[in-house]
Amino acid sequence: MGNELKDINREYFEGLSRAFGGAVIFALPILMTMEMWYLGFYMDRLRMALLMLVLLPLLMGLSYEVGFRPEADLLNNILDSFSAFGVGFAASFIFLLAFNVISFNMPLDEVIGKLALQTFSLSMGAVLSRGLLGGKKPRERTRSRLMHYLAELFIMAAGALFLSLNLAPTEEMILISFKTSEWHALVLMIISLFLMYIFTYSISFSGREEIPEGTDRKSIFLRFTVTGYIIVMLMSLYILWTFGRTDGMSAKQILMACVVLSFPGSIGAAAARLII
Amino acid sequence: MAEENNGTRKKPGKIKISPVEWIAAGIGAALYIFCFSYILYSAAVHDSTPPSLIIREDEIIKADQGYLVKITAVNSGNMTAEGVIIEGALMQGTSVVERSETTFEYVPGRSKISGGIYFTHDPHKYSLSLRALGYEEP
Repeated sequence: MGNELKDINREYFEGLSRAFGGAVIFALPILMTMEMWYLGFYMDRLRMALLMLVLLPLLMGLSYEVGFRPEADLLNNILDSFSAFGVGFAASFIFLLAFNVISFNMPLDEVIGKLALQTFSLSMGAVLSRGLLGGKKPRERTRSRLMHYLAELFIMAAGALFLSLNLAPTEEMILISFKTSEWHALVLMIISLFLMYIFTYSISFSGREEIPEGTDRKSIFLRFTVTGYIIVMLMSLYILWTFGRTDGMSAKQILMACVVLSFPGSIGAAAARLII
Repeated sequence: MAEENNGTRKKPGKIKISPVEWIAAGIGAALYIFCFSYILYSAAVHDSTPPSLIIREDEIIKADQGYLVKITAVNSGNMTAEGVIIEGALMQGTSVVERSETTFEYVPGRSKISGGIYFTHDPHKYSLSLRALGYEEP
């Protein structure tokens, strides 16, 4: 009996360290981006609270999709999500302290703000790594086509959110949206759609179910690529709003900023479907 | 019935949850609740008073190009000031002997940031006036 407990504990510890490693791999660029540190202390607190609220179902959904234990029930997902947050927070604390981005003589508000913002991405990395770096293939699930489709959309949203988070705070994003004309934006949109479409077609080398034979290309384009891009645009808008980048901007400027941010977002969405 | 050793046990019922998992999840949940509540509290209490900057002279030391006046910018307002231009002027009576300036990228609300301004003249011999010239909202 004692042995089994030790085994389970050890297995979980391994999972935790994988989660830590994965968190760092995924979120390292964000950890070392100064705009993210600054956003941590000046970002609107209510919007940050909303971001934290969004994080929980996001983590639970990812945990479910990525999970290598298909028998996992709701309780397991909840535990997974919270421990991922804990791992992310710990990583955030360790590295921000090591970089002297937070220190003990800073006001608590600044420290918590910086930590919480970094933990968002770090905890996503932690959840993803438990399934991806474990070397175990996700088991095939049987579920309805609608649920499967919604799951695909969710994964695209998560991927878009993740890459948008990486890039939205930077100065370069704003700069690009100033430098580009409407024609450039149009080109960007077309490239984004094209790349998403191509990625969809190479879906067969992931663990996901393959596209059934004889599926109409147009159908895929509409259902996944175009819908996916809309989702990516919505995620871009949400992130830009969260970081206060839409305040005081005209509708056209906001649209341009969304298109620019949706380029990495769409790559994130497409990649997420391949990886997860 | 052979059990695989790599951990992919197929259990007929619920998965056994290790105690460590409960602890890790518990700590995570506690941290989450703490962060969330604190952020909400901060949002409620946060009356946005504009940045109020005071520049303090800390120390004067000899530097390669002359003299270095170490300063600290203190923001007693709640809001963050970005791109704070700080000017130091060495005065003899009412005439300015030398002007020098520096820019602090961010001075967060209710915080202080330290830096320095260089002069070629010896600040000890004159009266030093330090002030913030302006800032930007982030």
